Amino acid sequence: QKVTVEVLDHLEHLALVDFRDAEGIERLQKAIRFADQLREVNTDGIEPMDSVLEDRCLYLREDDVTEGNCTNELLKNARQKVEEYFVAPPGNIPLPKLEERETFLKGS
Amino acid sequence: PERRNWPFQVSAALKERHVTPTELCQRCLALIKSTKFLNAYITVAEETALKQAEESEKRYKRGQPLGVLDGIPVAVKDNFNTAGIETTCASNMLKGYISPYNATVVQKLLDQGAVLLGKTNLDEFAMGSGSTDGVFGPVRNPWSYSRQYKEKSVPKSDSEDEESDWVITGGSSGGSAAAVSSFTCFAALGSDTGGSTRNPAAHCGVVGLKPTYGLISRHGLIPLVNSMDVPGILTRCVDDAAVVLGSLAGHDPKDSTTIQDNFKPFELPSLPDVSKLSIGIPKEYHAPGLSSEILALWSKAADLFKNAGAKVTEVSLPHTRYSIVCYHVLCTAEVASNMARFDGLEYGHRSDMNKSTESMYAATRREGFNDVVRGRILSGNYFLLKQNYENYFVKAQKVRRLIANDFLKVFGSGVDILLTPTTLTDAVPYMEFIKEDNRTRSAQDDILTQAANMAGLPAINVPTALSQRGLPVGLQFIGRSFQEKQLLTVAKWFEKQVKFPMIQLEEVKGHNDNVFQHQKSASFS
Repeated sequence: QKVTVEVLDHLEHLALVDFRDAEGIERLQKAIRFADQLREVNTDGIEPMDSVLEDRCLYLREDDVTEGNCTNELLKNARQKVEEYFVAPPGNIPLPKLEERETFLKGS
Repeated sequence: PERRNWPFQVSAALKERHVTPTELCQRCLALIKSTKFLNAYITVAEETALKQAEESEKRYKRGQPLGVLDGIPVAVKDNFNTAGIETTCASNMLKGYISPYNATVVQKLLDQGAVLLGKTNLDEFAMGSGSTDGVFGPVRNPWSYSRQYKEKSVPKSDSEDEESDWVITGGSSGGSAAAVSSFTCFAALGSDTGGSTRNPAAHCGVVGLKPTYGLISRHGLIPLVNSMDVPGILTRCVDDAAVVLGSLAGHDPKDSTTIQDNFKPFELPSLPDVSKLSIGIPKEYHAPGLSSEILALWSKAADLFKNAGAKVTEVSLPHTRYSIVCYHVLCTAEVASNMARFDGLEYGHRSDMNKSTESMYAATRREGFNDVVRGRILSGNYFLLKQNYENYFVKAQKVRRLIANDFLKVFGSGVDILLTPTTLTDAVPYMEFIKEDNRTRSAQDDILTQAANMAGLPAINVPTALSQRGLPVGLQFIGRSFQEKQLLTVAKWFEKQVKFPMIQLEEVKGHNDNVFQHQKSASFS
């Protein structure tokens, strides 16, 4: 099945990257077809594996402060900042709907 | 390390003052300049390297070197954070990014007195198997300029540019492999998620070690797939890899995925013995597309072990052919998550778009990532959608367990080490490589290396012989978890048997002097 424009649009929103052109969409289609080969494998009764170290305990370290006080260092790499804040554009504005956006998907 | 058996060659040369760290550093820097056409380095840290070399020299003068690595020039793949030196991951997203800290492995090398020459080129964000998809352009395999390759090349008729003949390094740690292969450094760090250290090692004729997941800290390695990534080690001989491993392995409180077991650096026996070993030959690694040359070498290698008294048996890892599909899903899913941090706010590229946070993020990522990265993010997000999560992501995690169990079963049946090819063919010409897209290539090229990452096992490429085209071919050994000593012992034995030839670089003739001419001095241990 082809991926619907709604799903493609949804993905662009989630990923915050765009498909840019037909090739991008075709790439996704190919990726899905490729992944579908997993269906051939019988995984009845098999538990998913998160980590190869699953048999070991995740350890805890002592709750001691060992580093920090590096505000200046960290701010150095930000393009826009004010005092000790990272500056971002307004955040409560959702991405425009499909019809209003500059996206290749509009033509699909 | 104890001072009992000082390794010979370059380290000894340094210790006995035949050459000074600054001389060594200068020669390497000069060689980097004269091999610029390889495009192996993104950043050359000339000033800091010379300073480090000077410090090292002072220590040698006092008779107090920090260890075997003191004064040894090394290079680091550009996806490791290096304080004060640009770290780009070969992406526009991180152009100009100067990290405030050193990755743990980088810090460890520096603490041992190693001289950091620079950051090596890679596929953007380590996604690829050719080292061709970074924003700084592709890396050229030094063997393209070797007498061995040129002798075997069909002479081009008239107009065809000799330049277009060059072959790829493989990837994604191609820059590191090329740097080691062309003598510009004695060891380099790569990363390995699906074969990214072993693949270019095979194509460039160097040793490429992928350690067990959890042995070496990933703190500071910009992540691709958190559950599979490991720092990789590239050197010219197995002994050197053991030395570097010794200085890097061990628990790191900053990386909770490193195991807490005590790691003891080891030296490899000078005369390894393989007669008591059981070597497994997994039949599924006779994959479609495996060149007949490599198949023959693989078979010869098996015979070598047999003749030495080892038990060599055919084994089966039935889920091998699904590892690429499984990797494809798990990798893209983890990538979708890992790449979410690049939004332009705290570091890296930031778009001028400022209508809203979301549109700024979207524009930043649109401008910063190449097609390959964006493609994987989108695919990963697809597999993680609620409606797809069970059928793709969780399914892939189950298949991962099946793959890991295959190995457990084989090792549980008494097999000590697996012997397989590393790549399907020798290095292809760049012009041919780019005809297929990145994902297709990765799927083809990772097929022999990926499963070891799936299961977290240690694996190593050992250069074996030259192909008919005069290019390196390597074979791979896969060992049990945390049994690097056994793995490297077998690798060393094999290395001694095959006596892989030294590269005869034509372009760098003028720079060959005492340090580089003799094969012995090509390593530091």
